[in-house]
Amino acid sequence: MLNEKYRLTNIREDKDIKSLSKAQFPGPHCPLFGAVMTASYIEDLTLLIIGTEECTYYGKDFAMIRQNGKDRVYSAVLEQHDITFGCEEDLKDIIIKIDREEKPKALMVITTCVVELIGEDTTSILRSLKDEVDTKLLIVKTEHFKCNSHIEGVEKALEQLASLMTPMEKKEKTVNILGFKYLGVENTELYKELKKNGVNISMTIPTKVNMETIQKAAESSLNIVVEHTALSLAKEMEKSLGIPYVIFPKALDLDKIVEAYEQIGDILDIKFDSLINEKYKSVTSDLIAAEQLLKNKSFIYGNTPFSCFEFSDFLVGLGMVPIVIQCRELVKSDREVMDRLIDKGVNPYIVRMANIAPLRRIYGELSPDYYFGHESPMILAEHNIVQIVTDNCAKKIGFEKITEVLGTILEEKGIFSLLDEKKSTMEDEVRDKIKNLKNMPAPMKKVLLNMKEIPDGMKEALLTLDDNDSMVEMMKNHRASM
Amino acid sequence: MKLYKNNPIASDRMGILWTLNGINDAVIIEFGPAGTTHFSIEGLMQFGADTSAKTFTTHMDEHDVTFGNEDRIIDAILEIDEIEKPEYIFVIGSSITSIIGIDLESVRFQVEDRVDSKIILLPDCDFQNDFTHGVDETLQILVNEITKKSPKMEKLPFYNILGLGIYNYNQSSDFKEIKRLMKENFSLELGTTFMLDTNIKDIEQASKALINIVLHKEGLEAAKLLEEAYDQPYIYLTPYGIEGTKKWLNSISELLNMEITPTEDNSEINRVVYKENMLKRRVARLDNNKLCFNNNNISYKYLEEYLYKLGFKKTVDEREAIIRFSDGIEALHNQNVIQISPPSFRQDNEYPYLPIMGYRGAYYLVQQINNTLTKAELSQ
Repeated sequence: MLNEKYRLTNIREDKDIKSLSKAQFPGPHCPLFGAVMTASYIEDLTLLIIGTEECTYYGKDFAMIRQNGKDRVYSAVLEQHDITFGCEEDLKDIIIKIDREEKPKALMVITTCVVELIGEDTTSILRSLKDEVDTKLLIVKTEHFKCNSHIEGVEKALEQLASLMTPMEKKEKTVNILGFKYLGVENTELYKELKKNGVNISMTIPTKVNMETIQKAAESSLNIVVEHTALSLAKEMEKSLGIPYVIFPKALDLDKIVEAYEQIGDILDIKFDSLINEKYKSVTSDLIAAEQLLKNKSFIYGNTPFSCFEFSDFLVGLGMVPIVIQCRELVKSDREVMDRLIDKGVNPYIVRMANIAPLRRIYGELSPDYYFGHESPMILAEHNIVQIVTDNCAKKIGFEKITEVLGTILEEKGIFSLLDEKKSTMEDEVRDKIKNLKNMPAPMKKVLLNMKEIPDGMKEALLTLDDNDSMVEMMKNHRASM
Repeated sequence: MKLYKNNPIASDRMGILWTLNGINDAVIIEFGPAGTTHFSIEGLMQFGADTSAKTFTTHMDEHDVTFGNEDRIIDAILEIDEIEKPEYIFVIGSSITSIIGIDLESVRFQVEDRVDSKIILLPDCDFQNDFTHGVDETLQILVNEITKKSPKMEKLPFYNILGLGIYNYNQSSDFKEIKRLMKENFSLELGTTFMLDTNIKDIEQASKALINIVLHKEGLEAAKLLEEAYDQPYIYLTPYGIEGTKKWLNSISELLNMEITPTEDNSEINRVVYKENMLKRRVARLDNNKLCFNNNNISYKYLEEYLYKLGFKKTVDEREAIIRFSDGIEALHNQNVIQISPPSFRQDNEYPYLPIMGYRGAYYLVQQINNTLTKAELSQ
């Protein structure tokens, strides 16, 4: 199944990355998903999704879930006539109707595959309405046949936000954080350090803005980009509003983190020297300690919040060996990291992400020590593979990100680490019992210990397990089977 | 182009996929962009039904779209045939393949001699029909391509259900009540439902059943096909209310020429009759006794008939209705709405002992109506 052609050294462009099977399950999300996800952070932004019933139905469903039923998503569903003759007049009428009746502050029009396929020039249609409607019109095109994932939808939706901003007088030592998609930016190292140095964080886009505040983004004198999907927005804001930007690396490269802090310091005229000196030393010693434990351990890269190559490069730096890297799609900046990996003497298989079914058939053959990403913990445990899920590491910015990743690996935090922590005394009792059980297979032990909350039914079953019985017998007594 | 503030009405393609996803061992390949498949697989969760059908996608890129390249679907069929070894592979296109004019029939022609699985093609998107049409068409395809291609079976004490799918609100409870009524009154077992908690083998053996019970209109045409092919009678009637359920049982008894097993204990039915009469008296005293249906295109004519017998009057203006029968989104935001159709929003409906069909369904429905009337009156 894994062909030598899939090796890293043979990957020159995106089309060289093959899916392990022709029939994919579940397949990647589409840019519509990315656009709706991003726009949903801004609670008072109105959306109009144009497409088939299917795309609009599921887009609406997703937005409702994201916004707890308070979404502002309209659907414009194409009919047979629109496919044949176009939908210009209908679309104009719909936008005017929404403008007159709902009076949204801004309307993000999201087009899907079919609209682009029939060649409807929605950009021109929106432009022609500019003087006719009060609402600001944004356009995001999300045809999935031109890309392989939802990322493009995220980028385009963020980029469009720039058109809501107007030039303003700059305030000194005021910054925006672009691309942070989680709650709790106040708890990040970067935020705290900026605050400590008297910097005002005007807004975090997209998670801490609404239609009113976003217009004031142009007051800031610097944009700090913490996720590459916000880079287009930063470039647009630089071009139209004259705000420079610094890319705060999402990658786990100590020197790049230092460089980012220094760049921010230069622009804002502040010094991060003591932070850099202290953290550089402590993180370096953490890295050396981790290397001792992880050297020569092999892994499959599934998915993380990081770039697949940058994250793998970080692990290779710790002496780990990549067997398979699953890649969403190749971007320009990947080339440099890919070459670096080759220079380090590794040559893993590179396959397309979001198609785990065929990979599951060869876990036994590949027998990696670790799997980084979302996968069934029980399936991995069957093959004695330790699951590491790094989703929570994306909530950190700065040196703390490296510390968090190392901690996640060394503590072997799996999928259950994402659940809310709830503990009871019974829980501790169960954990002690699991630790002492001799007959329980080690991977299963790890999975159970990694669960933050063990289901009640399982707790009782585990407390009454007799370690003298075989695992199969023990489960039979509890009417379970393997 | 139609504008919707709430969810649009689901399309024929969605109905096709919802039908097939109720068949536990169905294997489906979609020829289109992957995002739609990903969304639709996640979308099944709203129904609260167990689904284990396997849906695969080929994905498509610009090259495939520009040149009408069929390689991806051909390769996917060959691969699934080899790896999954299903008896049937259901192949469905997408809005894109419909527009660019991919001929799935020619794809089948190219691969059918190279695979062991039988390939069943599903209809193209037509951009005009809703999901009920997709369900109807798929049920007919299942009859034509699976039941009728299998050997004719000797009749056994079984019945089939048609027109109840994972997308029907309350399907788990209604399914259970129908099975209970058939067992207790006729000692008959379920053969297949064609699209709910079933499998390919049961669909192949559908001709062994004595009767087909059509609960919603979507199953009617498939029932007619089965009648024509196997002389298998069907009944299209949904049991709502005590009288409605008795009529339903009597019709089945007549069609099968089978006596209904006498019930020893009538106390439960008598209790529901009493509650129905109390509700009729309440409705008669209401200043406003109008109700309206927003059923998202599912036909509820027998439920409507029952409600009008309780004394309610129909209105199409939701503002003047005291009770509305609608979807889960409306039910979330309005005190006077009883949910009868998808979509749902984080509303579980898995508990299988709250039917609205059958005797027990009448009991629960009367209670629901009474409580909704109270809430509606209080909120006025």
